[in-house]
Amino acid sequence: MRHTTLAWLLVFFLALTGCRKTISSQPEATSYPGDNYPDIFQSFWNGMNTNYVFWGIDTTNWDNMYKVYKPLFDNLTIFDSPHEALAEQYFSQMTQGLIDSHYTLDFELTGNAFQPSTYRRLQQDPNYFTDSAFPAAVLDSLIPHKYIDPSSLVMGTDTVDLEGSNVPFTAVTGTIQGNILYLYFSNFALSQAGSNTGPVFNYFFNTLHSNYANLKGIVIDLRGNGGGEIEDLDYLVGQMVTSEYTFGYTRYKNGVNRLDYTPWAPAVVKPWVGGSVNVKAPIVVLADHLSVSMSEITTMAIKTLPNGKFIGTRTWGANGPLTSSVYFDGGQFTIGGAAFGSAGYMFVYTSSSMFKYLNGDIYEGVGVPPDIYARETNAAYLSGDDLVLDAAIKYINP
Amino acid sequence: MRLLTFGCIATLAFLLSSLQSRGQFFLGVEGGPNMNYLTTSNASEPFTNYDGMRGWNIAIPVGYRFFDWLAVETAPTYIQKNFDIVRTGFFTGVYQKNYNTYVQLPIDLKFSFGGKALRGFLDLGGYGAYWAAGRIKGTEANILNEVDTAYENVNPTSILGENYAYSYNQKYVFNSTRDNRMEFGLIGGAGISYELFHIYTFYLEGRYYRAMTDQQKHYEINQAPRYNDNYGLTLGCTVYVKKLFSTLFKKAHS
Repeated sequence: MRHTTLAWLLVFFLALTGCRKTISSQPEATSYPGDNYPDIFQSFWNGMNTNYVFWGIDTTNWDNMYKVYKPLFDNLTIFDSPHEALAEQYFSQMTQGLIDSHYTLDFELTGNAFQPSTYRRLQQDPNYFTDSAFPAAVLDSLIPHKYIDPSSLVMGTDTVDLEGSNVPFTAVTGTIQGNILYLYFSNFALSQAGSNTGPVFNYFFNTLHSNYANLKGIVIDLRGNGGGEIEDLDYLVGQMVTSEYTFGYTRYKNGVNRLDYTPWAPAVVKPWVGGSVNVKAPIVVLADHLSVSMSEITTMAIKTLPNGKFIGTRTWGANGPLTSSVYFDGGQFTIGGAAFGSAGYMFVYTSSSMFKYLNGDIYEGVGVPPDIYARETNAAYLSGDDLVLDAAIKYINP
Repeated sequence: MRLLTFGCIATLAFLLSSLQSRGQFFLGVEGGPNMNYLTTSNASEPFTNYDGMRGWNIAIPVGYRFFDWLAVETAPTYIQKNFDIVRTGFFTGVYQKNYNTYVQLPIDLKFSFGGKALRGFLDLGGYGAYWAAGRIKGTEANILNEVDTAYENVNPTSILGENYAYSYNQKYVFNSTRDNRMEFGLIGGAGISYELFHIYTFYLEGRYYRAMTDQQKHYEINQAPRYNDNYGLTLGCTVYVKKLFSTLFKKAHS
């Protein structure tokens, strides 16, 4: 009897051990096989499911996107131009509500692109990109000629490489009213400063180091700044402080499911290794609705300082630092690499980490709010005034 | 208080009834080390391994021996089911050790065989467990605490040469959307026991706890499930209550 009982129990036990859910092996999105729309959809949906870092706070119902769009992609049976247009439309509709304001879909076969944050802003305000005279007009004709002390003006433009693209890099510095040190630059690529912009930064940092005790204030103008290299955070802000401080936190994905995250790691500014000074005077950062990414990170780093102040308008809202997805098991990825070559069918540009400001607020998708609101207008520009810089000067020299 | 009183009376009644019956009620203590593995899919995470981690468990086995070859047993257990997420290659140094504590209640049938004193046995059964607490300890590369590679002459050979490490050791915060704190599974074990004075039984057992439920709630389509697989080595001792009491009574009266 005992042997029979034991035998039956063993059979029953072994049968039960197989009752787990199937653990399917999802490859990286880039390596996902298939050259047809249903496979590309599956690859994209899985890639987003795994790599998108904002699922913890994003209200987009990604499961619902699967249910709605899978049948639509299943209907795209032919790979031709009309179907490609439909596919791009579907991908855009799926992602238009995502809060990641770096997020961009690059359709490699057609050269088209879709950026949800741009789409949403234009839906809310068709003049979002045209109703400010900054940076081009204000920078070209107003600041250098009206505000900067003529004898101190240094400005120049170089070409730099940002994420594989050559972009113009403009920088302006000088003093205002003799005791306010001003710096503008169009991107965070200070380490690439060439023969034209190098003197701008040399002047700014030399003046900072040699004359910081006599300065009434410093203005860092990041309006219209498109962001760039993280190394510049310590290089710029770290030269104005002599001790390390925390201004926020970042976290990454650490698993393949949507809510798998690392703990929050402190985002810090360290005194620059090449030397720094302890600036006591007000440091004002100017930023606006076109200040993106590293310019927003820098804005938050400055506004955290006891002598820091952010003047301007709410920023773009792309705060999550980003790099290659292999670094932090999340972020940007390519779809269809196996079938379409290294460029793939589609490149998904998205953050590698989520940023939280020191006060616990996450400004992704909504932008960093200013301490003092000021906005340049076309009317003010035509009458020769930069209302934002005026507000900064008034704050420093009341 | 009423519940405690009722529990004590019930336990006493059970003990007394065991004294009168043919079977033998036993209880004891056991414990030992274990090795836990998290079985999941992470093929989409390059240079990332989920490794097993050691833990330990302690329990109070309580059982009833119907025949010399068959007993039923349960054992309120404190058990750790730990695992390690480790990055490799250029990312070596980045890891997260996950220490998870479960309160577990198994119930199993124990089939024994062999001689009078030295016997072998097999355990088969199931368990329910509650994920009571967790702790995470690890190191990650801090994206907003960079090593200055742009302005300094450095040649990083790992991610921690590009970004300073952030090390943490903190309580695991449960997420009610993600974490499934109830776990059910199967038990299989085999061991040897030695009976001393017909009262005490010492045993050494290898035991496998196979979770049949996901460590996560089902909160997304195509979710990669996670299962604990726990392999333990347990050293324990039980006493037959009836025989122990009889011996004590005899000593008291002699």
